[in-house]
Amino acid sequence: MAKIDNVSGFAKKIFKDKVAISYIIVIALFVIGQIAVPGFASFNHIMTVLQTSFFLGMLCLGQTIVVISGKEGIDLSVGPMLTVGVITSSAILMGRDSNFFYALIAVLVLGFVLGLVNGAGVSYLGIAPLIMTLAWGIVLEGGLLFITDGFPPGRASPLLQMLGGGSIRFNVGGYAVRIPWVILIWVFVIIVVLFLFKKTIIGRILYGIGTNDRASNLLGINTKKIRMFSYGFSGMFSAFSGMILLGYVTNPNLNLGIHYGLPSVAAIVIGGISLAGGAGSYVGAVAGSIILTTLTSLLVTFRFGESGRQIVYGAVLLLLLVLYARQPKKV
Amino acid sequence: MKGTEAKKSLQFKATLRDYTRDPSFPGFVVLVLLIIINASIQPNFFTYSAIKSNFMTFTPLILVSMAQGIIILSGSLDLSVGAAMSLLTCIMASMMTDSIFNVILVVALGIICAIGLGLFNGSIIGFVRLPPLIATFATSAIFFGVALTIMPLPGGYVPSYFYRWYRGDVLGFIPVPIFILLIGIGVWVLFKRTGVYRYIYAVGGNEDGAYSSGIKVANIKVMAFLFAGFFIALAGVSLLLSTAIGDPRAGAAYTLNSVAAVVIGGISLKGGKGSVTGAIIGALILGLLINIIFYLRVSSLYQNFARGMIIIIALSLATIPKLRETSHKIL
Repeated sequence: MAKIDNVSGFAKKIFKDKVAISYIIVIALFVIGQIAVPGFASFNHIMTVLQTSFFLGMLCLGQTIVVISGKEGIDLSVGPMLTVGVITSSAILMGRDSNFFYALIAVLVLGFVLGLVNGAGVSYLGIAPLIMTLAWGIVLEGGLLFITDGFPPGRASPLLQMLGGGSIRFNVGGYAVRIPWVILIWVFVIIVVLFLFKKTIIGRILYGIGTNDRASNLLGINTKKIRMFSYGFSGMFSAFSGMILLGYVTNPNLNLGIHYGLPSVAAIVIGGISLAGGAGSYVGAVAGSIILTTLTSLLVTFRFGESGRQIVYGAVLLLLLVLYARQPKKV
Repeated sequence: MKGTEAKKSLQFKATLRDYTRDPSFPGFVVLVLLIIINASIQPNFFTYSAIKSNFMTFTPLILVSMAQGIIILSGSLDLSVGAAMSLLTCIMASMMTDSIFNVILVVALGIICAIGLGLFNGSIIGFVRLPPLIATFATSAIFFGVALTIMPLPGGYVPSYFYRWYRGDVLGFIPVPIFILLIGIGVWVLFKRTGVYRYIYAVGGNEDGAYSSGIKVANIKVMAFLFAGFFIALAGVSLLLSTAIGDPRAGAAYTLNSVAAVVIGGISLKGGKGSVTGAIIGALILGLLINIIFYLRVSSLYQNFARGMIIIIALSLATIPKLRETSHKIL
């Protein structure tokens, strides 16, 4: 009897935990895919989907930091910032490995500095984050078009191509198994982020200013400055994602970031992060980005036309929101 | 005698001060500046034909910004306005024939459809309590998908007398675009007299407070969307008339422009602060900006860059009254 109680208690706990639900949805999507198209849930295809989720997942990291920092924080410039990363790294690399570290450092620094502009506008000029990041995104897109004349120079180097698109291959019991490098990078990032968020003062300060700005301020934390830096980090991670994306697609393109802005917000909401700030974890956002990428992959597999894809994507997103993004009822 | 004059000047100063503290005041200053700049660049800026041709492009943006303004005042946000406008142009262009009876019927149907879309958005935000930003992003995908289903490529039919009417006058001296705008403003003035208008401000400004004082918060939110639906319908009709074609992507740019216009016009994204007049001013600013960029023959490579920068500058100006407020508090 006690055992059954435990089981139902466990089930209840899972259904209250939004992160757990989001991982259940990931599995459900793969099961649906496998039933409809055998081979959808094969190990290699799962790896492929996870590999393409990485780019959205890195944008979600920045988005998570900004949203947790509170005060209606949101970063809609992640898409253009990703393009900044793509163009900068390709222009510096010019297809040569010897430039790899210059490119990496340039991308990270440039992403951080351009992100700080968002942060300065939000923190010190008091512009609403939604519109500040949107306008700055338009400026970045326009600036890139202007600088490159529409034809971005350079291409990825072999090392970057391996990191972005390559994988480690080995045999397990006669099966050829591959694990993309990108996934290893992602796992490393997740572990570092979780450590920083849960075990160090950085995480506590971030959640603190998101939950109660005034109280944190009274404790002597410079909330404006920290919020500004959170936008800087968002820019940095987005630009980094762009650099790896260049490795995946090899040749730079000005349109790569267009479809990433709002999906990154949708992904973190699906992952259980409240847009009000101060709550949620990156683990959920990872699940959210995998869900959206799997969904897109599934819709392509089902051979829906563009119109059908849009309708189903919107409808499923609404359904997911109804499942667990409903705001509490007034009492 | 002297006393009354001093009193009068004091009163004048007080009203002036009140007006400069109005949230739409910085937008108004920018608007006057832009009109001066525009008049010096565009030949015959103040002539009848120039005003008419300008309003042919301004009218859809002004109307959709009014819609966005109402929704944002009620504390929500609508990222599906652009997709809704596109969908309306597709629906109307796919059904029109040469008979005037049919044209009237189709336009009426378009208005009903727009209000229906508003009802859908309003219900998922008001009754289901989803976060507006992501929920309307999802519905915009659905609307776009439906528009693509109706019309995969731009097309349809608009009778020539109907779109020529848009380039003509009413009563011989009111250009039709301005006439459509006046219909919208007239409906707005009537709406302002109802209690719902005050409830929208109450719900947007302090949702919990409004709930505690017995306002049906969800109903008011839905009503804001229904009412905005009417303005989106007018915007959709004027967009159809100015392009004379149904296009599933025609409205895409209006979503972000409407949000930008509303914020430039001094409406707070948190809701409850600002006025629809501000939204009109903001839309005029954006329209004039696009005009200036066109008449300066700025290369298309610069255009987005310039537009984004000007939005940021306009928003920074909008923070000046706020800075004064805080200094007031310290003293």
